[in-house]
This record gives sequence, C-alpha cells and structure tokens, in this order.
Amino acid sequence: MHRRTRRARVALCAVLCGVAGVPATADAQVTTDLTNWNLTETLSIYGGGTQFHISSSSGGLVRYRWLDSPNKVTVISGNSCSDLANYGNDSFAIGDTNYHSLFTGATGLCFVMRGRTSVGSGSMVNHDGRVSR
Amino acid sequence: MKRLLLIPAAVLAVGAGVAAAAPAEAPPVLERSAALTTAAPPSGAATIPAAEARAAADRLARSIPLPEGGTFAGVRWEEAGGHFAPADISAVLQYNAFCQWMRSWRDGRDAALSAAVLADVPAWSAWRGAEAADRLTEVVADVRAGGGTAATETLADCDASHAREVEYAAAHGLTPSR
Repeated sequence: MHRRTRRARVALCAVLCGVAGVPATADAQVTTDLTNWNLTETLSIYGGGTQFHISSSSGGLVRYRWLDSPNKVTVISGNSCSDLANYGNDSFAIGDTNYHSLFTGATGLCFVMRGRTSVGSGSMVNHDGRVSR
Repeated sequence: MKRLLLIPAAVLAVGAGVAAAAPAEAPPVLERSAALTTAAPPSGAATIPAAEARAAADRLARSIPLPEGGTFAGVRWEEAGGHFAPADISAVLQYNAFCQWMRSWRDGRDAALSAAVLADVPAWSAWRGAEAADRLTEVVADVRAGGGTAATETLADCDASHAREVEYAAAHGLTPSR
C-alpha cells in the first residue's frame, strides 16, 4: 500500500515537473530564502551571521537572486564562515531578479552572505533574496 | 640522600593534590561550551566598523572555548571591511572555534576533550535551531563515530581557512591558531 502510494507520488512529480519544464539540474539545487534583508552603502552580513553550507547536490555552485525587485544597485558576496575570506561576489542592477553565480566550492563549505548598495545610492530595506547552494 | 627522597615525595604530594581537586570542577572550556548551548546570541543593533571589530571580537571571545594554542587572530575583520553587529562577530568566532576543535580532534590533541566540546556545538548560540545546525549535527555524529564524509568535508573547509588565517595573522604580526 505504502509502496503503491510512493510510486504514485513519484509518477505525479515526474508529470508535474515535465509540465513545468523544470530542468533536471534545478531539482538538485538547495535554496534558502533571505528575508527582509536591509542593505546600506557599507557591507554587512545577512541575518546576524546566518550560515549556509554547500549541498552535495548543487555541483558546488553558489548563486544568488533577489526575489523582490531591487530598487538600488547592490553588490552581494559569499564569505567564509570561519575567517571572512571573500569567496566571490557580483553586482546586481536595479530591477535584476535573475540568478547570479557568486562562487563555486566543495560540498560542506560554510559561507555567510554579505551585501551593500552602490556608493551614494542610500539604503535598501526589507528586500527578500534567495541563495541556491 | 634523605633530602633527595623528600623532594620527589613533595612533588608527588602536590601532584596528587591537583589530581584530587580536578574532578570537583569541570574544565573551563567545557563550562564555556555548555554555557553557549543555553546563551542567547549577543543582542543589539549597534554596528561595529571593521576597524574596531577585532577589539570587539576579543571581548566576545572570552565566552567561547578554544583548544590549547587557539586564537582568533586570523579572522580577516579589517580586509572584510564594512560593519558588523555583535551577533555577526559572535557567529564568526563560534564557527572559527568549531573548526579549531575539529582540527584538534582530528590531530589527536586532547581528543576526548575535543569530542566533548564538539558534542555541544550544534546547540551553540550562533546557529541553535537554524538550518546550519542540521549540518553540524551530521558532522558531530561523524566525530562520535570516529569519522565520516561530513567530518572530512568540514575538515577540508577548516584546513583551508586555517592556512589563510596563518598567512593573515603573520602579515599583521599576530599569533595564529595552532
């Protein structure tokens, strides 16, 4: 009975995923949302030092996107949990909600997210983003 | 001759006294580790400029246990720039300490004490109840089992960080962690 239910779920997922056109690689991504991130022109860490780890299914690629359309140019980076070394960063234009690759690393690597707005642009408050790892 | 016999006896007596007193109180590192499992993260929205982060970290570090020879000197506060909340600084210090205990355990430096501290780590205040704690729980389970994939992966991360820390600390005239 349980086995039959599980098979039905797998079949349903396969159909839905096919309809939605989700690429196979997207299934492997682990994502976490960063909520109400407040950025200023000075670099700061998200969420009181919230830490993320690269999953075994991501291929090592860490990407970031804004969920809320950003109204400022922003720069986002991934930094080491342990010594704050910058693993990689990228700039996001106003209105850009696409994923940007930040860096690649080994499974289990721990990182924090840092960000700022562009010089002279002021702050950007309560914007949500998503990290894919 | 008589004096020669008395000296070792005195030394033994002092040694016995220390040994007898030790079980009465837990080692400070274990006390600090246990305290972190119930402590709240540092509060306050005050932001600390990168130039002042090292001094703030030194104050917060007093509550975080380190293995013998451990320091936080290699953290790149100045290079990272920007500003930090006290909770940010504490989170970096706690992960750095976790790495030092992992290396201590792997290298067989006071392995029993290292394993005891590591058992507390998933409940430390920086990540208690957060997603990151799940990963640390896996790593600590590996430690308990004598090794495993998660522990190996984490040690690779910690070793890479340690190599950078040694370089950064040396460049700033500081003593890096062992």
